[in-house]
Amino acid sequence: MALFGLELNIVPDDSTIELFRSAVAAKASIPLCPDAPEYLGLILQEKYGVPLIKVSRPVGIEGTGRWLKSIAAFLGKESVAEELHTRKAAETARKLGDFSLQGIKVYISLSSSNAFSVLDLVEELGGEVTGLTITHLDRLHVRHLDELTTRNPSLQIHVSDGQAFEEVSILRKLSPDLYLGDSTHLGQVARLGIPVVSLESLALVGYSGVVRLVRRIKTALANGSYELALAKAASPYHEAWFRRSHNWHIKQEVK
Amino acid sequence: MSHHLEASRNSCALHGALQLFEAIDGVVPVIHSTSGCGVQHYLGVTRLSGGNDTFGSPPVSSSNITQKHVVFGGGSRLREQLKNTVKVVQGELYAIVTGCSTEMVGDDIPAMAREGRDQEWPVIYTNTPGFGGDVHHGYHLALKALIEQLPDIVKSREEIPSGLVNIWGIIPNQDPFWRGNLQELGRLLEGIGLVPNLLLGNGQNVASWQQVPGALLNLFISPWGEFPARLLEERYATPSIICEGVPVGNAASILLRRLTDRLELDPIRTEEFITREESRLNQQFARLADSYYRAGFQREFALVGESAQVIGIGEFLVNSFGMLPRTLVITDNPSESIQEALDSRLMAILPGYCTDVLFSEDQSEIHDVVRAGQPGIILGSSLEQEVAVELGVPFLALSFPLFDRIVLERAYAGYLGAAALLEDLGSAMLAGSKYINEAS
Repeated sequence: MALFGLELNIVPDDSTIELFRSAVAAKASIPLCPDAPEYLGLILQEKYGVPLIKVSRPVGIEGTGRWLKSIAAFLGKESVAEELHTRKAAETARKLGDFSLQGIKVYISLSSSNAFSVLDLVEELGGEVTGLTITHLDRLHVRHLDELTTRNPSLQIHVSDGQAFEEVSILRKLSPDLYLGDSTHLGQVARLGIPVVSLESLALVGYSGVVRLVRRIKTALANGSYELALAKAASPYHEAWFRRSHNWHIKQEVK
Repeated sequence: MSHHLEASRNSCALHGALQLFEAIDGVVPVIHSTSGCGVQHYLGVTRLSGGNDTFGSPPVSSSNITQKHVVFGGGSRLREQLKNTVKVVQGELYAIVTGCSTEMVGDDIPAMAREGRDQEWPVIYTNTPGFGGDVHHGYHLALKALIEQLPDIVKSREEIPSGLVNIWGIIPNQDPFWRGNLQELGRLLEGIGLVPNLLLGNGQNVASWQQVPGALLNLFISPWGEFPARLLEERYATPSIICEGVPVGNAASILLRRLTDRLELDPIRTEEFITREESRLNQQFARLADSYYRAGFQREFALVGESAQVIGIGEFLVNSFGMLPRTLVITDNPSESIQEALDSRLMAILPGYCTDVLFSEDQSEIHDVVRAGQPGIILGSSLEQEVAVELGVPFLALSFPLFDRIVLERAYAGYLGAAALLEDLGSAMLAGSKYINEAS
């Protein structure tokens, strides 16, 4: 931000009342994460005239670049952002070396704020997303869904918050090579023998976020002994459940 | 006199019941409430007991009621949830627990349970709204449900071994060392020729609970055992022995002799067992002596925990380890009569030395008292760590909530527990030994 000659005001996490007050005088606001801040951004825009820059999360190399460039465009400082992005992208590529997720089938199970940006990131790293569990979907996600339908029309999306029994059923059928999730049932996933990376406490944003995630993925893919050990513990679910469609409990109310 | 409570460690009845049910293999709890209860069970309890999640912490089955159920009743939602749970999750027994919302609405839980039993499903239920009481109350409700309803559901019974002793009063997760403590207590009972019925933890299942009525004796560790003692005496005329504190180190010897007398066991065998155990512990004490004096282990301590922990660990540190009990805080709200008894017992714990005893679950009050005592080491929950940092003294986390330790099978009870406690206490002292000059 300093490069743009801007001061950053982060709300609402760890904020003070003072920071909230100064928020109404900001040049613009931009979300760091989609869903939740939307409301705050809209109120600042409608009631106080602080423009809300709509752009997806700064996750991934291109995603981060796009985010920075949209701020820059707003201020007429495009060249600053271009230069920064080119430099940072090259630096990140150097740090990643020849790492690629080519040939790796990845399953993503995340909250709606994370899922779409991580999906993009996985594809940026060369991986194939074979399935997606997302905690919820609403009108805020229509744009993402439209994009996905074009890019990845056969992708099955499982909408569920914490329904581990459905997810485990899906995973048994799909057998992905890697699972990225942030839920409370990662142990159940891992015992299927799938390498797991938890994104719950991983700082995913920015260029460094990419490097951080890749490091975790490399580690998970390098040694699956814990998953093998977990497989020895019994599954809590009946085998009969897995013979049913995982959508069994979804009521088809609208045809 | 009322004041606000900060960060109580006593959660609610629903969680107490869940903690008990989840500690028995083959019991599948079904929550009938709004979705927050199940999530809180994970975030606010199992995650804070040293890695004590049930396997991979799968979400607990829950009816997740919404507004329409509050308005029109949630019975049908529970019926559906129960049916689906029985189909999807393997279990020997399904236990319905209820939250505040459904209890206020007044759903007919016994009817739903009965319906389930009509379908030949093994279902028990217990009404556990949080407004009815805290985690200890939930523990009581859950075990009452098991004791009262299990005999009607699961008929077949295996041979009950003679010399069976049921162990009560150790609440899963509320005592973060519950598994290890039960294991060690079981080992002690075996050592004098008894057959322990741990009821909770490794390998304990519905069959263990079916054996409850056939026990020779009920052993209660902690004041929270009094309720089941009375219940079982009424139903099965089983006598009981109460041990207010977790028996640590030599206190275990005292308990074993009490049991030997009471049950007329072979005193020679008991003495041999005690001698072996005590001699090992004595050697451990001896090996510690160098570090003890060099790093100045002997000092005033503050201990914050539940009744049984404070008595057990407090008395061990004073009676065997030369420590001075500056401040003892009991957080589990025992009844008035028990409080009086504990108070007089603990104030006199070291003759000639003035000990502050406080009964409180309010974090700010607890911290004020601990801080005022200026102890040389603090033993408490992870919430007390900040006071230790402030005072610049060593800290050992051993009571609930425990968020920066993993406890898998570690005990602080018995003889093995005494050694583990000394290891952890000693390590904490050495890690903080740069502060010795500031500690008294």
